[in-house]
Amino acid sequence: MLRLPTERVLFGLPGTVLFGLVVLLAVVAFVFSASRRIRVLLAGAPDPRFDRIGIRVRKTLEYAFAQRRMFRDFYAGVFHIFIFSGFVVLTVRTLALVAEGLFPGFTLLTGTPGNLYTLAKDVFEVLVLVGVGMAVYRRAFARPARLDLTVDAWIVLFLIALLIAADLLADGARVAMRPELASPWSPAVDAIGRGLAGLTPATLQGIYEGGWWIHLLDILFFANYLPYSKHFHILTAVPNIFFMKLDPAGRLSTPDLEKSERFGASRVEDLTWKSMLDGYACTECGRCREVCPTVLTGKPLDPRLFIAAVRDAVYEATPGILAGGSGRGNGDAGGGRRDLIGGWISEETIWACTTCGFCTSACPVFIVPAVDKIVEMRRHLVLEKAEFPKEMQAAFRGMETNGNPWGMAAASRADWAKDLPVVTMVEAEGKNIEVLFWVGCAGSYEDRAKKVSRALVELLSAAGVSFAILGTEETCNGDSARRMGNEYLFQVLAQQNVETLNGYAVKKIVTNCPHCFNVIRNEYPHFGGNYEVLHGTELVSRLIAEGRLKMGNAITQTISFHDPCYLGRYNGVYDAPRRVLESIPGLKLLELPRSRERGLCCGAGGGRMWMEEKLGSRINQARMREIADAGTDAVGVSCPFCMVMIGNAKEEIGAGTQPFDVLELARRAMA
Amino acid sequence: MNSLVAIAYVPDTETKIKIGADGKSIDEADVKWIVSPYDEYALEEALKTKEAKGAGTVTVVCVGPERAKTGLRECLARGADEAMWVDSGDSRYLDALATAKAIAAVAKEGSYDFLWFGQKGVGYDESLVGPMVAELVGLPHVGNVVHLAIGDGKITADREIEGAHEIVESSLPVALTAQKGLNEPRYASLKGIMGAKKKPIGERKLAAMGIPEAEPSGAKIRWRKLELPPGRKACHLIPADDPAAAAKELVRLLREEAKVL
Amino acid sequence: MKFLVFIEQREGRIRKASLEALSLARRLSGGPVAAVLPGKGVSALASDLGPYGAGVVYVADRDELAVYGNKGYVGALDAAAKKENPDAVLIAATAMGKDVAPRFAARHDVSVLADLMELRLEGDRLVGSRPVYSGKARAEVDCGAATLQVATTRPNVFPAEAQAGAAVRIDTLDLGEIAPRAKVVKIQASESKELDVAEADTIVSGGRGIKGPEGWPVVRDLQEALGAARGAARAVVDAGWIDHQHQVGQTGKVVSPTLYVACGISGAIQHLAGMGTSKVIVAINKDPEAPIFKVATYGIVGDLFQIIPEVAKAVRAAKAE
Repeated sequence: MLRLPTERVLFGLPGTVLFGLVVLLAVVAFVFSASRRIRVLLAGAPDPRFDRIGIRVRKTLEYAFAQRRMFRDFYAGVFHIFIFSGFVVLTVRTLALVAEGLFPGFTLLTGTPGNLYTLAKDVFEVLVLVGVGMAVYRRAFARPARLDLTVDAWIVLFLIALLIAADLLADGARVAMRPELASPWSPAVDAIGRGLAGLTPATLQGIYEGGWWIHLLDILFFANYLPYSKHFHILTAVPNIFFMKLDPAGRLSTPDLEKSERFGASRVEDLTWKSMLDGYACTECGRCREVCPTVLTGKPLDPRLFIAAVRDAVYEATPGILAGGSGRGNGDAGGGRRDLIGGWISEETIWACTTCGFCTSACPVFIVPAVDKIVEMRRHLVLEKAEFPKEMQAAFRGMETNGNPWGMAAASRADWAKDLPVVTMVEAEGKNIEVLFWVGCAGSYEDRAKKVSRALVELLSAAGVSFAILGTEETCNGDSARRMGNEYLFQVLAQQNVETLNGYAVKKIVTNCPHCFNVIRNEYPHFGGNYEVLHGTELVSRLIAEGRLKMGNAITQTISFHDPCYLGRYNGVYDAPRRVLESIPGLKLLELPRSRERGLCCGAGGGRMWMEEKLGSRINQARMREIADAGTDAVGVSCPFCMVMIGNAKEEIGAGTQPFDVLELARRAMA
Repeated sequence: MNSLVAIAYVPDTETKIKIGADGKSIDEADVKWIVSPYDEYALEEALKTKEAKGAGTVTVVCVGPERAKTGLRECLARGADEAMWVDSGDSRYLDALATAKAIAAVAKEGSYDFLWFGQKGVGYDESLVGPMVAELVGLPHVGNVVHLAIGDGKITADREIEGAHEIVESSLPVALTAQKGLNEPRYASLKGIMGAKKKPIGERKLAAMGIPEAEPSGAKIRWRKLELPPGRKACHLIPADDPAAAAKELVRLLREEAKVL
Repeated sequence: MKFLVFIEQREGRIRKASLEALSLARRLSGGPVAAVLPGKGVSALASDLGPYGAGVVYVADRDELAVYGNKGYVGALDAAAKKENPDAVLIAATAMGKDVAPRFAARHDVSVLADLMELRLEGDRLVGSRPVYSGKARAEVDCGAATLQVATTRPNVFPAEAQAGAAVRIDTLDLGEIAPRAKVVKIQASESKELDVAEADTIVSGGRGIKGPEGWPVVRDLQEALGAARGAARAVVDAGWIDHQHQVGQTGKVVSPTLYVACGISGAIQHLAGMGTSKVIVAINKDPEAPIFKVATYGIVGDLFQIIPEVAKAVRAAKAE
């Protein structure tokens, strides 16, 4: 005997009708919740993400379905893919069960496809249970520091375990009642069926019906729980990957300041819909927290909490936004909403970020946890309110008046090159210039960086490269201004520089500053500046490879290399500086534990160079300790700001590892 | 509480000074111009006063050539309500008295509780215009103000003098010159910058105000010659073999050559 | 050529800067000149001005002149000028002088040759030299065809020379009623150790070269000898050896004192951005390659723990002279 669960009267209603009502209620409730979440997204600022569909599909397959980034943590990657793939299969299973409940006797598939489906369901249900077991073990016993052990997580693990267990038990009881249904394609269910074999038919029928109902009620409840839980991730992660940023990582958005009436983000509605989706997609795994330099040094910015705050602010604002009708800009925050800045997120948090981008590259589902949102909030604070750490004003004014953040005389910009055979573009008039050397503010004014500028000049001259500088026509590239939120100042500087460069029809640029490199390469195209931009180490490594430079003098030392964020993580230039170091006789390159994609910030990015570091411990010292612990004689650096930070930290903690710019070493080794 | 803030638009303090072809003024070719830093303290204090009282206007005035308008716009961007440009025409160097007369004329046109000045305009570094305007308008004047408290119809100012501070009480209206330390000038928001583009700048012509601008006008400060001071090039290194002798030599140089002790 | 010199006194003590202006006037005129001395109980001081060049002293001795007020003090100068009818008026460019001179000049429809470092006569014309553009240039100036020439002289630049034997005639000024709208109600002496680095005219700063917080007494000794404010480079603030309010540089205070003494400071650009416009920079550092020497006016390469105490000693000796 076997009676299907809905083939009886329950609470005075035919089972199918009752079940139908339950399903209908659940679907209506889910559509209500989900549509609210989606309608709020529509109220966000525009951000076109429907381009390059082919690439998006490919990336989605790679990162959403093959979950490439998840396996950086192998244990988590394994149990996550168990649960994920189990859910994909289970979706089919659940739909089949719903159909069966409404139309008793419904069978999804028969024959070989049916058998394959049965096997898949059987195997993946077991895998999900194994995955949940691994997750429980990790939360209960391994407890990695990046995780917050929330009740929400336990609820979800319980719901998942329950729905699988209920289904397995129900199916097992069914097989126990009707042994002819046993199949070699469902080994797990059959094993359970055998285990239940001794029970009375009534008990088995009870287990079957109970398990069936529990499974389905669990899953209907689960679907409705998701939009109110961090596990909304389950529904939003795939679209979030699909809509990922495809523009260069180092390019920030460019608002049209002339046409804007509000600048930056101070309210939920000022965020782009994609920023809000980022919040939905976060499941609080804490991988961003694990790598963030401000977390490491005890500052208030924790990207995992930051994105959760953004999400919660969106949730809080939802009723108000939806009541105000569609579209954005319906009045200021109000109706009991906490302000985004100051309420949900403190100003200290906003100013703490170095924009190193490590959190962004750590996220398995391509959430941008902090950088773009923080820059938007900084834009609001600077452009709308002119409220920022007061020491920043000196840098802004220096850039405005003298074209460099230190405010050194603009007329002295080319003084470093006075006794060198360097021509300016003006002096070079008509001469065939192969490459423009973009010196940058540090390379022009900062003592150590000036020496590196000299080294590059001598390397280029030795290799017979014809080059010129802009001299006093060069001005700050604007990176710091932009990342400190002063978009207006950045755009003024960018337009001015692009005009100068285009005026000389510059095609190829070399610079030794990763910040200049990133901005000119990735952000100037928006202003009509399109150039081939090389970092100093890229050009020099090429010249060495082509035999135009000979590294003849040995430097017998061990050396590590500190990757600058805006060279490595943002632009993928990891090998060029290493190739230069490896080409120097006697120099032995050893990798730091955190290097390349996992390189730790020096603390200067995002305009932090121009701010006081008053909270927590020092990022540069934390990094210098890692470098010193590696035990090499020297550390290679390829950014003037890293050099200042690492150099200061070396003195402060009394480390013995000497920092050298890669080009300084190349100059010394040049035969 | 209405304030009139007189500003000077001057070469940036980092500017490399080059002597002009006439040998008595600077070559303005690559000069970056800024609102004189002391005038920023004056403007900031006027803005703070207005904000604290929740009423009143802040008017800025600048006497100078066309570029003075850029300086006035900066002040409007920071929050000044109105601006007045007194066109000094082709005059390369207007002396303090002529400038003061122009500002005094503007001051008399309005009704101001405060006439604000910077302690000096960097560049000429004369510290003359503020007290001169006070004299011409007939107002009390407190110079070198580092702290200001506004009472009912009067003010109490903390003024810096050599090695001490004078606490000065004055009735209103009053002329004040701002010293460093009075406040921390604000940065203009983009909202302010955009708004400033739309605000009109009033214009006066120096000549039309009956103020003589060009030489020879009798009593007028004239720059006869401008030169770069000798020997500010390399560092004068004092041998340190004998610390006591080195110290004596250093003190001698500070007194006799640099004249700062 | 008739000179009138404004004499400044505070609490019965005549300012040296006024004696310098007085001696200068005598040197230029070739004989005794007139002086004006406002204050309370100052009549007794008038004869002290003789040796420095005063032939006649116009005295305004009134209770209302006990503390400075431009109404009374400019009024006294004005009254003396009416009696003396001078061709030139010299005033020391002190805080008081900078208040008196422009007011007095404007009243007579002339301007001021301000803050002179040199002054000579060409016929009956004053020709002065003054620093402009923060000392980056020097301007030679005169005041055109003005019949009344007013000049202020920078303190400590011109010598105050006493000569024996000169008799002083005292002429008492009648000022009428003095009812100022602005009044000094209190004078507070500043304590040098409390001087704010942003406002100070002299700064002594310490950098990493002071080795540790125990290095401060050496720096403080020189700071006190000079009556200077204490500054610090970022490194020592970061290290916690001193509070952030003393930090000079890009992210600290931007200063522009007359004298800046950098002790054990290498001169990284973030520091130079905060003090590069100082008029005179003294660098004491053991590393001759330190970038601070590129901006310094005077430098001593050596151990600051040996050199600074000697400098403090020499400063005290010089001040005692």
